[in-house]
Parts: sequence; C-alpha cells; structure tokens
Amino acid sequence: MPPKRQVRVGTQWMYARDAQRALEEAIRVAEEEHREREHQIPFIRKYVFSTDHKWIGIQYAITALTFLLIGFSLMLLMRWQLAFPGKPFPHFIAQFLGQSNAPGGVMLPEFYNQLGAMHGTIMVFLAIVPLAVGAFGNYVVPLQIGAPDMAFPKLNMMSYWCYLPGGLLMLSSFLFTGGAANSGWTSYPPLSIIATQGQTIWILGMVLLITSSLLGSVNFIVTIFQLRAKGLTFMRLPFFVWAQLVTSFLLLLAFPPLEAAAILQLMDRVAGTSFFLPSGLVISGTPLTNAGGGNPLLWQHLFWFLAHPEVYVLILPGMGIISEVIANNTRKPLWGYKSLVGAGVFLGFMSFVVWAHHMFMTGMGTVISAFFQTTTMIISIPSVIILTALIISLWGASIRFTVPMLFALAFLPMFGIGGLTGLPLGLAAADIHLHDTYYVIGHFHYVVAPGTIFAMFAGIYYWFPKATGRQMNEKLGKIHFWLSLICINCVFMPMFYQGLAGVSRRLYDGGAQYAHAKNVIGSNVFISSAAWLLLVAQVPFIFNFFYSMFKGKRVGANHWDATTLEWAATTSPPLGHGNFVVIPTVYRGPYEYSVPGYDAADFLPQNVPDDTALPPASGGGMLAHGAVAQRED
Amino acid sequence: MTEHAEHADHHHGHDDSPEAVKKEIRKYLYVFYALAVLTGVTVWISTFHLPIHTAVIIALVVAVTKGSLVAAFFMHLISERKLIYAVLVLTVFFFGMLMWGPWHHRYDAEREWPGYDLHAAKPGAAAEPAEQHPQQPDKSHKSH
Amino acid sequence: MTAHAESLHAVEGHDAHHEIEIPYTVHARPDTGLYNGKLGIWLFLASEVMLFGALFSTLILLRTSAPTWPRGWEELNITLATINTFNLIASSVTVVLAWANLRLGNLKRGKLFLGITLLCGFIFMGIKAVEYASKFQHHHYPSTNNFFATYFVMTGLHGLHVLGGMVVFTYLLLTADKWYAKNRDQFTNRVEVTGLYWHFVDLVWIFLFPTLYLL
Repeated sequence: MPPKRQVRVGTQWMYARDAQRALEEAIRVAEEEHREREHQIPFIRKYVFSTDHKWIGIQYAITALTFLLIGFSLMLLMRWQLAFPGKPFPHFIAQFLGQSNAPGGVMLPEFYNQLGAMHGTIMVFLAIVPLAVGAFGNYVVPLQIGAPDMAFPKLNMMSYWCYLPGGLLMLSSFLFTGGAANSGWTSYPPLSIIATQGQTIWILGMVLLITSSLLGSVNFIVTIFQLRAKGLTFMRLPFFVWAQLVTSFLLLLAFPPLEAAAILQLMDRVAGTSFFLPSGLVISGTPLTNAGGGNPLLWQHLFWFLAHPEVYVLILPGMGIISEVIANNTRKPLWGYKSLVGAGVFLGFMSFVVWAHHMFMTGMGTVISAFFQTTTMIISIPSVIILTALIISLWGASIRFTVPMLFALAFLPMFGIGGLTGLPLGLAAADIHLHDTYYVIGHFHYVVAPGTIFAMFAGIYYWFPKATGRQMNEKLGKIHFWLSLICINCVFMPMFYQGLAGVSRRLYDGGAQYAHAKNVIGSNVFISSAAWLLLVAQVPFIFNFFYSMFKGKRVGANHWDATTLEWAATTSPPLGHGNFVVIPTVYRGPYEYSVPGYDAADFLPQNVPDDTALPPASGGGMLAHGAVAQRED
Repeated sequence: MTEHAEHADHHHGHDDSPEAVKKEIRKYLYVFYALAVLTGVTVWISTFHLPIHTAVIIALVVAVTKGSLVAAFFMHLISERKLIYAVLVLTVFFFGMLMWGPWHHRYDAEREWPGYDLHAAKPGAAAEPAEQHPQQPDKSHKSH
Repeated sequence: MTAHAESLHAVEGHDAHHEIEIPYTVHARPDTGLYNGKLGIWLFLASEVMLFGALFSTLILLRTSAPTWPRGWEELNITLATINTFNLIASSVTVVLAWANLRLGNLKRGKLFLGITLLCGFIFMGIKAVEYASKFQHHHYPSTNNFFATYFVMTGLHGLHVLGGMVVFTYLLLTADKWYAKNRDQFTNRVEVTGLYWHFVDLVWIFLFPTLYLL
C-alpha cells in the first residue's frame, strides 16, 4: 500500500484527491470570470485576423484541405479524358465546365493543359505545404516546445493573409480569357512567356504565396531557437520540431530565387524583356519581335533551385509526423534519434545542391552532369537512414493499431517505393529513357500521395483530440485508410509501367497516338476508375472530420498517453491566452516510453519532474505543471 | 540551460556605457572615411577602361572589401553571435552554388559542343529600340 | 487509455489582457545571445541575399553568353551613381549613429539622425528618378536589350527596397516619442533592426554599382 501522499495548495496541506478538487474549483471560478472578459475580443480579431498560432493553424488547415480537394478534383477531370479520350463528360459536369472549356462536353486540349498546370500548382503550393507547415507547424510547434505562441504573432497572421488571397487569385485565373496557367506547374519559357493571361495571374499569385512562406519561415526559425521551454535542449526536441526547423531553412533560402525568376518572367510577359527568350524565336511562322538574347535554361535553373528543396519541404514535416505517431504507438523510444536528426539536417543541406538532376536532358556537359548525379546519389542516403530508423523503431514494439498508426505504417513502404523509384531518375543514363514520362509521375506521386498525404492524415487523426477535445471515429478512420491505400496504389503503380514503355507526361490523349503506348494505354481506364474511387474513399474522412468536431466522443488532454509537451497543455487550448497554466520545464528527451524502472505507466512525459513517483495521468498534470508541491506523510 | 554571463550587459550583448558608445561612434566614422576612399578608388580605376576580366577582379576585390567593412562594423558582425555566422556561412555557400550553376552549365556544354548556342544575343546595337531581328542563326558568334 | 481529470483550461496567471507576453522580444535570450527581432532580421537578410543572388546569377549568365555587351560607362551615368553611392554609405553611418544616440538616451539626436537617413533615402530615389527619366528619354527601356533589362530590374528591385526602408523610417520617426517613452529598449531595438536592413540595402548597392556601372 503506497504511503498517503499530501500536497500543498496555497497554505494548506491536503490529500491529492482533495487537492485536485480544490484546484478544479478554483479554476472553474477563474474560468467564469475569464469568459466575461473573453467576450470582449471582437470576432474579427479573434477569428478572422487572429494572431493566435492555434487558430491560424486551423485556418491554414481548413483552407489547405479545401485546396487539396479542389486540386484533386482537377485531376479527376483530367482522368476522364485519359480514360475515355474524346468522349463527352456526364451532363452535369459538362454544364459546369461550360462551352469554352469543353464544347459539347468534350474537354479541349487547352483546358486539359490548364488542369494539369493548376493541379500541380495547387497541390504543391496551396495544399501540401500550407497543410504541412502552415497548419501542423503553426498549431503543434509552439505547443511542443512549451511556448505561449510564435515569436511574431502578427507576422503569423500576415502569413495566412498573404496565402489566402494568393490562392484565391490563382483559382480566379480560370475565369480569365484563355483560362488558367497552362504551361505546367514548372512554367518553362518560352511557352510560358507567350501563354495566355492566366500565366500572369499565376506569377502574381506565386509572389503572394512566396511572401507568405518567407514570413512564416522566419517566424518558425526564431520561435524554435528562442522560445524553447527551460530544459528543452536541441537534442530533446521532438523530431517533428527538427523537421519543421530544417523545412523552414529550406523555404527561407530556396524560395527567393524563384521570386526573382517570377519577376523576370513577369517582365518578359508584360514589359517585353528577353530574359528567357532566345534570339530568332519563331512562333507559328511569326518571328517574335523581342530583343532576344535570353536563355530559357536560366528559368529552369532558378525554378529548380527552389523546386528541388521544395520537394523536401513536402516530405520532411510528414516524416516528422510519422515519427511522433510511431513513437507514441510503439510505446518505445524512436530508434536512432541522433541519426534521424543528423540525417534530417544533412538532407536539408544536400537538397540545395542537386537541383539540376531535373535538367539532365537540357544538353549538359559531362562535368556538370557528373556533379549532379553524384550529389543526387548522396542525398538518397539520409532518406534511407530516416526510413531505416523508423522501421527499426517497430522492432520489439507493442504496436497499437490506431488509425494514425495505420497511416504511419503504410507511409513506410510507400515512401520506400517512391524513394527507390527515384534512383534511376537521378542517373542521367537511365533518365534519358525515363525523363518526362509517366514513370516520373509515378515516382513523385508515390512520395507525395501515399507518402506525405498519408502522413497528413496520420497527423489529423493524431492531433484532432488535442485541437477539439474529441476523438475521430475509429471505424470510419479504418475504412478511410484501407480504401485509400488500395485505391492510391491502383492509381500510381501502373504509371511506372506506362513510363517504362515510354509514354510521355502531359499528353492530352494519354499517349494514344504513339505505337509504343499501345500495350500500356489500357491501364488508363483502370487508373481513372481507381482515382474516382479514391475520391469516394475520402467521403468517410470528410464526414468524420466535421461530425466528430461536434459530436465526437470527448477525450482528455492526453488522449494517446503521449510524452511530448503539447499533451501537457489543456484540451483544445483556448485562443488568445497562451497555452499552458505554467510554462513547462523539460527534464528528459521526447520519447521516454516504457522507461526501465518506472512502473507507474508505460510513458513518462517530458515535463514531469524527476522525483515524481505518481503516474503522469492522475493529477500528475497539475503536479507536472509545478502548480503544487508534494510531500509524503 | 547554460547561462553565460556577458562581461558588461548581457541583455543586449554590448556595452551601453557612454564611453563605449562614443568609442564605437569614432569607429563608425573611420569606416565611413575608408568606404569613401574605396569608392573613389573604384570609380577612378574604372576610368582606365581596363579589359573586362581585369576590371571584374579589381571591382570585386574593392566591393568585397567595402562590403566587409559595412557588414563587420555597421552591422556589428564582427562581434555577433555564432548562430548568425552559421546562418550567413550557409547562405554564402548556397549563394555561391547559385552563381556557379547556370553559368557552368552553359560553359560546360559550350566546351563539349562548341557553337551549340546557336542564337546568340545581338545587344551590341544598344542604342536602337527593339526591332525585328533577322532569322539566320549566328554560328560565328564569340562568347564573351 | 487515460483515466484522468477533466480538462484544465489555461488561465493567465496574472490579470488577463489580450496581448500574450512573448519572451525575449526586447532582451536577449541567454544561450543564443539574441533577441527575437535581431535573429528574425538576419534570417530575412539571408533570404534577401538569395533574392539578389538570383539576379546576379542572371546577369552573369546573360553577360557571359552574349557576343556583345556594352561597358557600363557607354550607357550609364557614372557621376550620378557615384553621388548615390556616397549618399547611401553616408546614410548607413547616420542610421548607426541614430542607434548609438538612442543607446546613450539621447532621443533628440537619435531622431535627428533617423531624419537625415530618411533624407538620404529621398535623395537616392530622386537621383534614380532622374537617371531613369534620362534613359526613357533616349528610348532605352527594359525591352531594348538585356543590358538594359538587367539594369532596370536590378536597380528597380533595389530601389523598391530603399522605398521600403524609407517607409519604415518614416513610421519610426512618427512614433518615436510614443515608443521611446513606453519601452525605450524595444524602440532602440527596432531602430537597430531597421538599421541592419538598411545596411544590407547599402551592401547590395556596393556590389550593384560597380557591376552595372563600372564594368
């Protein structure tokens, strides 16, 4: 029978149970007084131009998920044309698209190109990065480091309010004459220079998005360096925070060259300059009247200088989320924390010196080609280290097959496939055959779709209880998971075969005009059907997400019995008032699960003082906050 | 968490005492004079109309010197924290990659396939406004 | 799963006001030795190095691949640009003197130097306007050729940065009295941070000037 422990509340000593009640009463009273004052924050300042990182995170999440759905829908339209080339859409869709995009219900090639360019742009810049960094980063990072908010809350607000208008501007380009941007998400000149109005809108939208990203990255880096709680040294940070830190450095230093390039392309389009236009260019029999002397490859260099680090921006936060979920659901520390951190940092650094592997087919000399092949091969190493560490973390684990964990487990082989299929692309000789084919599409979609997006789902299911105080429905979650996993593989696996056969990407007819596509083009119906089924698979998720917000089962502050600091904050921390009763102090690393010699529970949160023998769950929350002292009687 | 005691004022990382600030002000003025002189020098040298490669090297050396003075003394980099140095070193490295990449790509391709850049620029007639240019590829151009 | 107490709501320990206290806004954090704004501005400047870097890279590629390219003095007004160079360097001195005076507690002199800095900014933009007008008069536009395209874009972007700095200096001057009284250290920091940005703008010009005009 353990000795009766007494705690001191104010000037009185009482038993723990009574102390708990006394504190709760005090808090209830304070809450009521607080609610009176809370009503005084005007709605606009609280919910529209909020400076609270939690609400901004939620704003980013809702907006990004909406863009994700839109971007996905664009592709679903394209898949109709690919599955049934030249066949009219079902009537209601044809009506929605209108005569200018699909006369007689049949998609125009020009519209197909718009859909392709905007699908890529929306997915990368309006959906994934804002979700991974803007939503998850904003909501979780300050909580995980024990900070009251981000370092620059007003800047944070401005970040979001550059992102939303930028995104809306991008979308609005569909309504302009000539439609949206249609030169690929890569916007290569000279095509993008002579393209329709939508391209100019694309450029202006990008400028807004890059600004948003820049402000955000400064904020994240300063926050992580400056606002860590006492005791939270760098090697005690959750890997998620490390991932966000490296990601922010990538955004900070890689985006500006694209901003400059966007300005140059804008000048070429509207001011008649020739940064990217070579001399003697003839379009449809008419020579261009620009001065010439420009270099289309200059755009490619400046674009890919960003766009390669950008793909690591796409994957790193996801890896961070997966790490958190795996540690939590294996009930043991991550294997190789130091390797993970080292690999993550090295990956970030290397990502700046590989960009021209996207340009192997532009006429590269052997020296520069060798350089970029070498760096590209080297950069596969840290990725493998990270994946290996996560896989080894499963060894000997007590795995809880919660919905977040299912997505995390699927991430591992999916990212493995994505990564491995990238290797031939990084070797110039193989790239000769594979460049600009469906193989490339298969490769990068495996990394982003069952890779990053699955990680995003894992994060949503995982942190939903923290943000809302309610649980998402497990059954619906499992349906969502299994259907998505099967469909997504059906969509992208056949693309490797199409690519190996030589089918180029961005073809309106899906390759039908080429003899080499004959044997593989049949998969298009299969792929498209799987894609439409994938949309259906998201319905349980969307329903679950909104329904659970209001009617989900209520849960406590630390629903998953996790160790990191965000779980020490209250459930659904209220807006505008900081995150913790008392700013936590950190005493140990982030993944102290199943600690030998500690039998009270199979986890020991970072912020529980060393001399506490009480299990972290019962009343330990208050003790952990240092709100009360304790003694034995 | 380590707390190092700075010698004078650990809140600001520098000394706010009047003597120290006055000394700094004197330093700023010396740097200003140096910068003014260097500016004069670089303009004067440019009047020699040196061949381009020599001119570039001299101009860069002077510019880097001037820039270093501004960075070290006006921006206090000389007494700044390691973290800032680390960020800047990283940035300078990536900046270097950006300077090198596009140029070397073209240089390497030109070396391997001389004359591959068929349509060279014709900005030599700089005074004329933009007009129609002839269509023949100019195979006899010289790289600058 | 956990069988633990119901949610605790975060309540401010002291009387609630809507502004959250962000630590190290004014005073340096001991282990990094920096206050938030200073780290923030250096990170921003790092990104600006990459921004102008892309333009320098553009210039290098286009110039080295062009068969002919005018020398700076053939097309541009070196006298005006030299004046502007001295002007900008002087403004760098005045802004750091402003900061030094604020540290000494001398608000009036601090404001004076801030004002001179702002004036230098106006002079810079004025001279730039004269230069551009003269170019347009001679029918030299960005579309004329890549020499002018790079000239206009690089000096134009730099000019926008000068303008941005001027806007901030104006704001600082207008709010100096209020902020200095409210939180002297925070205001001094803001001047330091703006000064760092301004020095960077000067730094870019130090490289831009010889590259465009003297080579």
